Amino acid sequence: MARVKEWSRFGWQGITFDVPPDWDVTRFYGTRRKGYARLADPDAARVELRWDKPKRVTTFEAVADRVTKQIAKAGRLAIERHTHLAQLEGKDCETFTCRPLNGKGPSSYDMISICRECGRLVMARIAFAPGENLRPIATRLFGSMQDHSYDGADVWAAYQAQFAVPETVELDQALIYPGSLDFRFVYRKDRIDVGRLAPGSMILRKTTLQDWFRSFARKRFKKIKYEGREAEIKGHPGLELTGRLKGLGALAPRLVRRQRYLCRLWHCDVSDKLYFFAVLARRSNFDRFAAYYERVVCHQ
Amino acid sequence: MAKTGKKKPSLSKWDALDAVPVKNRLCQAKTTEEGVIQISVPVRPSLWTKVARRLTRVPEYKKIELDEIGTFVWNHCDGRTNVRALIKKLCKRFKLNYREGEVSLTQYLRTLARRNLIGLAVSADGRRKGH
Repeated sequence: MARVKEWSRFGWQGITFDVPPDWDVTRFYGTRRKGYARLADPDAARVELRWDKPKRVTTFEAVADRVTKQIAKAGRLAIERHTHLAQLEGKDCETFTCRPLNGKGPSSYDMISICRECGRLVMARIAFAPGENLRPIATRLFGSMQDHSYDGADVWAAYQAQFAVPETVELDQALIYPGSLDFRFVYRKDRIDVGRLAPGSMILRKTTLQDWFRSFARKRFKKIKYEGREAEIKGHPGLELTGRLKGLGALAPRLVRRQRYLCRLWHCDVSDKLYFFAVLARRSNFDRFAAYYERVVCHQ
Repeated sequence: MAKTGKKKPSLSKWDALDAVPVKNRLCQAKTTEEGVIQISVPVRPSLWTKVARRLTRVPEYKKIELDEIGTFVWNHCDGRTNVRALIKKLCKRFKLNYREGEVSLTQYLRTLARRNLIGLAVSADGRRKGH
């Protein structure tokens, strides 16, 4: 494999690391507590990532022994342990290499780590075919791994989109459709919606941003009564919409905990994409959640 | 209980990319004034719809309106363009990177297939080996 000149940052469920630019997520499931993600290059699956937060860990060595034995038994693999591909600060970490006993099929560089601060167990695997040299990539990828946030925010980065949300919110849905990325995060009854639609110029060819949002919001934010004004957002033409929930919340605000709504929507002309960042939250969380729109990276 | 032994057909990634999306001939598509495709899908008559049809007017078709990207995909389900070529065309037209185009299009085709709007044609001898 050719030497990687530029690297992208991948971020999912609080785990971030560097990857070659054409590696991206193709499959995922689970929650922040326990889950799985797979990244692939244009030809094959490359990275498999698993994370968990075990309730009780005896020692890291015991966990590493158990995991490597399980892997060797399940896959009929020869395991070379302690390959020292990476050392992570503040974590117990071991890297090892798996090769098939019969010499056929892909091998892998693996890493297992447990964070001393947050207790998160992360297992990462990079698959490579015979003759491929992914060792430099594995060294960089494993070495750049972070498994928790340092400022209370989880960075999400995939498909050239990058944003951050508070680490307390849970991913409710992530939809990847042609031209659109759509993430919804929830915290109790509060929610954050982050999305990207492309290409912006084509979507806005026959309509204005306001009209487009009206038709978009008719389905998506149908329970919200909002009013909007034009605004410059991140240096791009955009809309700022504020509002409240329709219905009982509006009629009896003292009985129902009122949620406020704010949506910022803009057309990044550099990347030619439409971005939106919407918050529906109670007063106690609203300002904190709404400030995260600053963390949406619409262009480099 | 004895197993029937009949396995569900499975496709490798390479087979799936070589497959050709084909429109369901029972679906009727027309272009709306906005230039997007509206598909009329015949509703499979269940017992309830048969009863309801005697009492009231139940539409025989349900209508699905595609967006601009959906229209592009539908128009390229021409029985000749395979998934791989369709991904390339989609990425070029909508300025997506290949990986995003691949993941999103395969999900979208799966959705169309689940709604019986399209099928995937796979050639029996076209299976690749060594991938």
